[in-house]
Amino acid sequence: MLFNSFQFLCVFLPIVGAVYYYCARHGSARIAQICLVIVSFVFYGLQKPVYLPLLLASIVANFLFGRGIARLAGKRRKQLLVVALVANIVFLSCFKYWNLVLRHLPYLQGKFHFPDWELPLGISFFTLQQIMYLVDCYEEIVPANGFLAHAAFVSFFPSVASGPLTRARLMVPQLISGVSSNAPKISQGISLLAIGLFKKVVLADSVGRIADAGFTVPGSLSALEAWASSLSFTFQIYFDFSGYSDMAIGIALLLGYTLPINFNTPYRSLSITEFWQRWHITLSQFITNYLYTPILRSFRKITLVKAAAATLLAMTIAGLWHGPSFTFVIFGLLHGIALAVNQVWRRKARIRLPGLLSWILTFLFVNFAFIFFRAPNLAAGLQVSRALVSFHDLFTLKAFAGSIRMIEMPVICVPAIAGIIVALFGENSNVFALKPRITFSTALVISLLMLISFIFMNSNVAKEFVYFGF
Amino acid sequence: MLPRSLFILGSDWNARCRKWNWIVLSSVCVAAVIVAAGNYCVNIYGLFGDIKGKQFIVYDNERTTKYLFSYKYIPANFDGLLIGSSISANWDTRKISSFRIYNASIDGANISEETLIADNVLQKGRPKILLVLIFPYLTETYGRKSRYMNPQEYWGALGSVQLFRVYFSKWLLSVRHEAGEFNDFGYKNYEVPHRDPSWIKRSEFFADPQSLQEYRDLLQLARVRGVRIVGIIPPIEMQRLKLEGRAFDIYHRNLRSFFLPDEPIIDLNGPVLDQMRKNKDNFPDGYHLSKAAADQVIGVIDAQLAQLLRIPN
Repeated sequence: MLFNSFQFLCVFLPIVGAVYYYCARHGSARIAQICLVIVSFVFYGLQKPVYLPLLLASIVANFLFGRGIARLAGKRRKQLLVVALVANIVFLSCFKYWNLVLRHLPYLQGKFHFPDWELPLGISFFTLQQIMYLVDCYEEIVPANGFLAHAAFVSFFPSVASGPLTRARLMVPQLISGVSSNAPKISQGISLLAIGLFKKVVLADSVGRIADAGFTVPGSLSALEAWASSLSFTFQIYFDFSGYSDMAIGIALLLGYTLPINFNTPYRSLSITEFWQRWHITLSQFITNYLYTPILRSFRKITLVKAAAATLLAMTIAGLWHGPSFTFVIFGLLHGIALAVNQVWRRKARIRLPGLLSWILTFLFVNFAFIFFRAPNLAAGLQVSRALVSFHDLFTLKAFAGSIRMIEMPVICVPAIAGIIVALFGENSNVFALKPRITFSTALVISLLMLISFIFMNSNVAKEFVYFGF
Repeated sequence: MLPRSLFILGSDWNARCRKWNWIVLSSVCVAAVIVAAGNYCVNIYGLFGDIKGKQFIVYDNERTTKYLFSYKYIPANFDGLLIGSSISANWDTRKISSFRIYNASIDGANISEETLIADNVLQKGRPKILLVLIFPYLTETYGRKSRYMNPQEYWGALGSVQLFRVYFSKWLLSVRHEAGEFNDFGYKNYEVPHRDPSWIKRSEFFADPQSLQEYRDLLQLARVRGVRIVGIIPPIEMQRLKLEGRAFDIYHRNLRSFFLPDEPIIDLNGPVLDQMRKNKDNFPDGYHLSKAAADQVIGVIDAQLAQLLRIPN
C-alpha cells in the first residue's frame, strides 16, 4: 500500500489512527506497542505478504544478536558483532547482489544463477537500521531492546519502506514511554503529510514524465532534451524522496512519534560536502559514522590522502547500496571523487570561490551524477551525458514528441516550474516539523495542497516512490 | 450564517491547534465533496444518471473519453461498435442507416486498447453488431499505449487532471465559437495533411502473437454475447497495394481465419471502390482517407451491411 494512494490515506491511516489512539489512551505503552507492531506488519504484509516472514526473521535474529552482544564481554562480544554484521550483509546481498557478482565475474559467468527474487520492500533500510542498532549496542550507546520494542522500532510502518533511517536511541525511548501525541503534533503531522503528498503526486510525478521521456530513448536526445531530462530527474528524485520523508515524518507525528529529518533544501548547497549534509541526511550520517569513520580508523596514521581514500571507498559502497548495477557504483564513485576533491580543496586551496559559482558547480555536478543514478545502464548514462554537450542537435524536441503531447505540457510544466522555484528559493518543509504554524492562511494553503494532491492522485494510478526500488 | 467563533483561533495553544486541525480536515472533505458533486452533475463522460437519448462528444483525450463512454453512454445509446485505429477514425458511422454504430476508433490505437472499450460495451450493453477492422496496425503492438484507459479513470470523472483538461477544451471551443472535432457517434472530423507516402516494400507485416490472441478473444466474446460480427478490410491505395500486396494477402488470410464462415467480411479493395483507390488525393498521406473518400467508404459499408445482413436499405 502506497502513502500516495486513497486506500492508505482515506482508509488505512484513519482506521490505524483511531485504533492506535484507543489502545494508547485506554491501555499501557505495551499495548500501544503491540498495536503498532500489528499495524506495521499489516501494512508491510499488504505490499506483498510473502516477504513478511523475511522481515520477521530479520527482527528476531537481530533481537537475539543484540541481546547476545549486550550479555557478552571482551573478544567474544566483538566476534558476535562481526557474525551479526556479516549475517545482515549476507541477508541483504542474497536479494541485491548475488546475480550482479555471478553475471560479471568471468569464471562464474553463466555457471551459477541465483533466482531473480524481487527485492523485498524496505530491506535495505531495515537492515541498515538494525546494523546501526547492533553497533550502538556493541559500543554501549543503547541497551539491548526488548522484543516488542525492537519489533516496533524496526517495522514502524511510516519508515519501514524507505526510511528515514532511525537510530534506536531516538525511537526506542519514545516507544517505551508510550504515545505522547497532542493537537500541536497532529497539526505538524497534517502539514508535513500534505506537503509531502503534494511534492510526490504533483511535483515529482509531473517532472518524472519528462525524465521518463528522455531516459527511455537516451540515444536520440538533443542537447535541450538531455538537459530537460537530467534536470527533471534531479528534481523528481528530490521531490519524490523528500516528499516520502515528509509524509513518513508527518504520519509518525500523527501517532505521536518524532522521526529525524532527512532533507534540508539540498539544492541550495554551495559545496558537495554541504550537499551530503543536506541530502538523505540519515543515510549520510550512517555513511559517516558506520562506514567512513571505521575505514579511517583502520589506517594507522590519518593523512589527508587517506581521508580522501576513505571517502572514496565509503561513497562507492554507499552507491552500491542503492542497487546491483554499475550505474550506482559510478554514482557513488563520482560523489566520492567530488567529496575527496572538496576535502583537499578546503585544506589546501587558498582561493575561495564566489557563492554563485560554488552553487552552479555543485548543482551541475549533482545533476551530472544523477544521470547515472537514473540511467537504465552505463551506456545509456554515457549517451545522455554526451547529449548534454552535443552541438549538432541543440534544440529539437523529437525524442519527447513520442511520449509527451503538447496538450499535456501545461499539466507537466506548471508544477515543474513551480516546484523548481520552491526547491531553490522557497521555504523548507522542516519549519513545519519544528513548530506548527497555526494561522488561517496556513490552514487554507494546507487544505489547498491536499485538495490539489487528491485531484492529481485521482488522475493516475499511484506511482511508486523511487526509493521503494532500493 | 457561520458562527463568529469559527474565525477566531484563540490564544490557548492546544485549543488553537485542535481548531486548526478540524478546519483543515473538514475543509478538505467539504471541498472534495463539492468538487465531486459538481463533476457528477456536469457528467461530461455520461457516466452517471439516466443518459438514454443524450448526446456526448469527445472534447479532449479521445482515449480516456471513448473508454469512459464505453461504461454507459455507448451501451445505452448505440447498438453497434466500430473497432479500428486512425484509419477508420474519420468514418462517419452516423451515415450507416441500418444500425446506430459508435465509432470507437482511436488515433494510434491497437487491439488491446480497442478491446478495453469493446469489453465494456459487450458486458454492459446489448449491442447487435460489431464491425472490426482487419488492418495490420491494430495487431502490430500489444498492451495499452498510454497511461490512460485504466479503470481508475472512472473515478477520475469526479475530479482529475484529465477531466479539467476536458473542461478547458470545451471552454476553449465555446470561446472560439468552434464546433468540436468529434460528433456524438465518435466520428472524428479530420483529414491528414498531404505528404509523400513512405511505403516500404515488405513481404510480411509483423503481428504480435498476444494481440492476435486478443483479437480472437474479442471475437469470441462477441459471439458468446450473441453479437453479429462483420470484418472490414479498409481500402488501400492502389500503388501501395501493388507494392505491399503480398504482405497484405498473408495478413488478410491469417485474420480471415479468425472469423467463422457465417461472419461476413467486407473487403473495400474490391471493384466498387477501384476508382476511388486509384485517385491519390483520396489518400492524402498514402494511408488515411480524405473526408470525401471516407464518406464514399461509409456509403459502401452501409449498402453492404444491408445486403449481407438482409436489412432493407
